[in-house]
Amino acid sequence: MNEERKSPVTLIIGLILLAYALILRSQNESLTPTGLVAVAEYLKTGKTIGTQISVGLWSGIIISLVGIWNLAVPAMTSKFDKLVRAPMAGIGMIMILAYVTRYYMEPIFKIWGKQAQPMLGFDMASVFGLNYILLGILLGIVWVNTIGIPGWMQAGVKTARLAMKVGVITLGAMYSITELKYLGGLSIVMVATFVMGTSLFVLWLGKLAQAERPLIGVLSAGLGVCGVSAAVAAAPVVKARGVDMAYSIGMLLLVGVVGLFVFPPVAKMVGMNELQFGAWAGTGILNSAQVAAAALIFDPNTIETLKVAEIFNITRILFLPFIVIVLAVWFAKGEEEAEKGKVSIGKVLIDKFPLFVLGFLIMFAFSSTGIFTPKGMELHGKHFYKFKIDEKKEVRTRDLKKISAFLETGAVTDPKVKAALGKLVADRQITSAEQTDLVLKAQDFTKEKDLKAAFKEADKLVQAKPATMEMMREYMMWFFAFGLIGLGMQITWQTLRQAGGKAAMIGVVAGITKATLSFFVCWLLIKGSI
Amino acid sequence: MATALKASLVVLTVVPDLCMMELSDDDCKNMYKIMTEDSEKRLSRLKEELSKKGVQMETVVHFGRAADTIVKTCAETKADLLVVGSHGRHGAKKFLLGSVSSKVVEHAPCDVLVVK
Repeated sequence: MNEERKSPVTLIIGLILLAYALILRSQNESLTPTGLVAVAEYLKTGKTIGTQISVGLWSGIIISLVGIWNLAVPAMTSKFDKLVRAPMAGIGMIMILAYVTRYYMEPIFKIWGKQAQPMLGFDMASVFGLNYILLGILLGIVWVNTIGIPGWMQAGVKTARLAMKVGVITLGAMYSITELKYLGGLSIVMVATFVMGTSLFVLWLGKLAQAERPLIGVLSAGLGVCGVSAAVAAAPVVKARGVDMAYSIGMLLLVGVVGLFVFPPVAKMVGMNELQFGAWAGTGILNSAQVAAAALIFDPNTIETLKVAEIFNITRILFLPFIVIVLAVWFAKGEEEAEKGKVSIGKVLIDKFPLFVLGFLIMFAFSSTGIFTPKGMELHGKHFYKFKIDEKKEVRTRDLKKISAFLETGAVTDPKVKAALGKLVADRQITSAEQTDLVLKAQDFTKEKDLKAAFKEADKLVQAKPATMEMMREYMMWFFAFGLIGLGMQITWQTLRQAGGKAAMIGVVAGITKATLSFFVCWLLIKGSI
Repeated sequence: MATALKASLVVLTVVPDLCMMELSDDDCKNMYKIMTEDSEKRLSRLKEELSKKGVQMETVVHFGRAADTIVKTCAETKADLLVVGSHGRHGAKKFLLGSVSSKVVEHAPCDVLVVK
């Protein structure tokens, strides 16, 4: 192992990132676009050059330094070596891949999609969601199944899991209380129905297929709750054997991967909104990382879909201990000579509690105290607002006149809305969070498009973008992009090949049933947006 | 053959490494434990039978890709002879599934006996 760690790979990768950033910086200073900057202009990624340089510089410096250190003193087995020094080469390599997908592959596909539109009749880049998230996953899949993961990259690829968790924890800061309340309630109802429903359905289906009980148990948890991790968590209580696990893991991954690629285009075709798709993905897609991936493929530019999907996913994970207990009871019933009552509810709850959910909640708590937002800004609904009176935020006089004329017609019957509009006309701008809601509500009292637009505009004018949150969002996207390339790298032909036998049959039937039913529920029953 | 040569056997089981991003370290350990116990249980009867005949047998369970792991273990245990079975798949199946035995024959640092 020491030989591997002494290799110069880490340093080389660090220097590549550094060189890229430095070249980009020097070319960015010249007046006429040259070299990489000219390429960026063609790809329309000019705006991102600043980020590209700063991320490249910092990561390049850090990775190179660790690379020099690794060359001078071989990494030992201390925690720091394991967590930081050994994975650095792999982390750097994935970062390079992230650069390639985000700043080169995605823009190219965007351009190709537009060029091929007249021929195909649709924009393939937008219909298939060929954005950097999807391309990153695909690149990961191709990479692992052709080149494979060399020894020096392995530790780095493993950090993808951590990156995803950090991404989700950061996401915790981006919810408002109203959003969390609404989504939490909705997800508990949906998830409870589908988790219980699918788990029981699989138990029944397994009996029908005359599969062995340990296999049924593992599949029930995996298909019902959250895929591979749930299957492994349930394995000990149903005394699963190696074969059962190999079959189930292969199958759960396969069903999840298919879902990941099928869900977004289907949703685009029927015109689902963020709330509907987030709910569908969070319910119907099996594995946690795949849920985040599907949400970001559907909508990589804003994080609204991801926010919905993650709440559903977290709710689902919290259901895991209960399913494990149900399965333990179910399994004990069928075993005549088995030792019963070995599972204690408390122990399962503590053992299986996902720590990152705690991190997510802490982040949310911090964020709601307002420490990430400058003074005077508040998070309301899904937007930030600044209600300090400011001329720049004034509604156009033309719109104000329209609104006051509208008030005089008496069409507004709700006295609260009436008061809010009156205050808007007097102050020429919205001055409180409650008022934004009421002004937006005024849209219901009119059919005139101009008026509706004026109300929306009044709301938009007081919206603000806190710099800290924007920065956190940008970094969070890097964590997800990184994690999802790692996700692609675990989808190996070898693992998928494990899917077979009765596990495959039960998996396909239950997976498709769950995906279809949850599709109709989300599409037809969930209305509105967050 | 082992009886005739008074050799000792190392029986290797390669279990595909299914530890992936979805799983925590604890989950992975848990899975490894189940898989290892499972393989050992299966080989224990063989071990018993062989020990009656006076042949020493050691069971080893490794995780990873079959061909790579076999070659690596062969080098590590400094085996004199590697015995490997072949399914004899052809055509598309061979292309898709690959042949472990042919990869092993190509890369192994020791003599290889392929049993068909």
